[in-house]
Amino acid sequence: MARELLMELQDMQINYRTRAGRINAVRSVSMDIRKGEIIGLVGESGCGKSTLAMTFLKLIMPPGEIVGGKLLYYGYDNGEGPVSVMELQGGKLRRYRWKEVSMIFQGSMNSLNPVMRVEDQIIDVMIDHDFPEEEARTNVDKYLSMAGMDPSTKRSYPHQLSGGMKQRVAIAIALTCSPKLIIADEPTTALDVVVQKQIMDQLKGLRDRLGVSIVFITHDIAVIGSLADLIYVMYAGKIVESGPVSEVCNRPRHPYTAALMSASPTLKGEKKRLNGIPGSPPDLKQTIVGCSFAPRCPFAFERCHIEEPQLKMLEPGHKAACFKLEDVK
Amino acid sequence: MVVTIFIALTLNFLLPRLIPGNIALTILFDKYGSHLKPQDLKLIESQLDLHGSLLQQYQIYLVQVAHLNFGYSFYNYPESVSSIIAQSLPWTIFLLGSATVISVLIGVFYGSYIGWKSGTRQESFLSTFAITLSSLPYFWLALLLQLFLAVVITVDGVHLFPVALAYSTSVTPGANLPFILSVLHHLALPLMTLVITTYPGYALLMRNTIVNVLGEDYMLMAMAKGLRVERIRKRYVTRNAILPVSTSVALSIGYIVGGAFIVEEIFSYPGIGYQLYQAVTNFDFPLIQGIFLIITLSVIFANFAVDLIYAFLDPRVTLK
Ligand SMILES: Nc1ncnc2c1ncn2[C@@H]1O[C@H](COP(=O)(O)OP(=O)(O)O)[C@@H](O)[C@H]1O
Ligand SMILES: [Mg+2]
Repeated sequence: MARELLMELQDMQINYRTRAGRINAVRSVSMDIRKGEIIGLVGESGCGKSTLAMTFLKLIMPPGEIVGGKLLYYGYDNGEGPVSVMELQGGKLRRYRWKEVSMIFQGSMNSLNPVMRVEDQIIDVMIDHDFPEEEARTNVDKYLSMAGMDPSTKRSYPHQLSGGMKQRVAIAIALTCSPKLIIADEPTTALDVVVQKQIMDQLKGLRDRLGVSIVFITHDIAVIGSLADLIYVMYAGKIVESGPVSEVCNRPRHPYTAALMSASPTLKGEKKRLNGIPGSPPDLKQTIVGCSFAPRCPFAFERCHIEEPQLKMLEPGHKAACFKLEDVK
Repeated sequence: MVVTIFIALTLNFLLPRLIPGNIALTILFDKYGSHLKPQDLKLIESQLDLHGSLLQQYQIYLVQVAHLNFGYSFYNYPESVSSIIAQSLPWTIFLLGSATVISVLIGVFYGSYIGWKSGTRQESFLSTFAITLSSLPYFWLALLLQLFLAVVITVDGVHLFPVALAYSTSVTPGANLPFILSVLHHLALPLMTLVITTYPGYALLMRNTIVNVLGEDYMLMAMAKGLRVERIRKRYVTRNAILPVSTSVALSIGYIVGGAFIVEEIFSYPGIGYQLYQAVTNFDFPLIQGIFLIITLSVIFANFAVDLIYAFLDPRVTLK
């Protein structure tokens, strides 16, 4: 089942210039996003997931800085080929944002304007993307119910809603302009498990009904097992393993993925001992020599500390960056 | 609010009476020396409501206040305190009101401008300029303006601005053009002093709130939504940034009535502040008391207004 390519991220590299030094938040990430696909991006907090998420909307702002890589968007069917998102400016950039790619921000409960009613925050984005005001108004209910909200809440101000409801409003807003790609940055963190499950089901339903692509970001690999088609595992600013969910979750190849799996409770409720991953991620201000996971890896050997492993195709669509796997072959 | 007003009234009654000695006596001796006879004194005391026990005085005081009757000025006897206040309050409201409106307008625009430019060289220059202005003592600026624009500099032998008073003695008060022009001409210097020293405060407050608002998550969201710049400015930035500024403006209503009394004194501008200054130098207790009461009440009402404005502007605040 080869789906059509929607977005292509090539060797993206992003730094933050801070007083304490340069943080290499995203060191190299490549990713293909196809139409109607749900991609799970997973990694411990601080590995650069949110930074990567921002690039899709060209939202990296100082002190952040893109130092390399490309982002190509294939969603405009005008026969002119892909557009480079990094080169979008002014009105073109404004219309690309939300109309083509929208986002549910991490901590989206704080991303609502406190002095505007819910409905006005849904309508304004539609009007600014050239929908007639009448149409925008009539669609408010639709989008709210799509996100699992009672449409009667549209007259509320954000502070009158619970965290879960605000999160749903953020989802509703993300749907407004029928984007082709939705970036969901930890949309369910801080919610209880039941609400979490509901929101995930909602997102999955949206993909099934609307054919929208979703990049679902989380630090909890168990969350995306049932949701995503593909998984990208990120560690210290790089992808260390990627592939179809069934492959990656059932047969994790990279020791970090395996560690993430055993550190996470399963939704299905099997009882097992949870092992946190010992050690901590490397300091992204320092140049990393060798494999970034080597200091925490139970299987690391000499070569891992000297040379950096590259992503290698193990099976069709399943890649991992680890010397141990190469030796086995 | 009722409780606050009551406490204010009581304090206002008690404080002057805590001063030892017979005030009426002191003042009258000052003025008329030994010409006074004991029976005159009795008469005056009874007129000034200073006889009877403290409680009786308090009762009389409350009744009088309810009738807006604050007694007679010692110094300008037999003029009543309320008539002095009634004459000077409009001037103060005129001067401070126009100064506040102009300062707020300039401050909000200036502050928004530098807030948007935060981090640039231009911003740091303009902010430093505002900080410098706001730290100028306003009596000093008043004297400086008065010295240069009303005394030293002349054009064809004519001074640019009048040194003092609210209007020239050569015009007749009323709705006539010469009077209005004279009033505006006399307003210029005190107004300039107040605007120059107060607008930077509003500007810096506005700048700080804008910078804070720009760092909020909902601003990132607004950018991501691809909203038009004007909408982001109006509905997202200014709408949120105006909240603290409006509080500060509303609170300054109390200050408006209190008057910038040194400015009024320097320019002999016949407002409340000027009267207060005079009253203090002349130990005119009933007048001081009356003016303090007016100032206190306006501060209390200003606080109440802040609550109202906030409930109107910020949906997170509801009135109980
Ligand atoms: N605005 C910023 N300024 C400086 N450093 C930042 C900023 N945002 C993120 N970082 C740093 O970049 C790294 C990646 O952060 P982030 O993308 O938020 O990771 P994640 O979403 O995976 O938790 C972290 O080390 C973080 O401290
Ligand atoms: Mg994050």
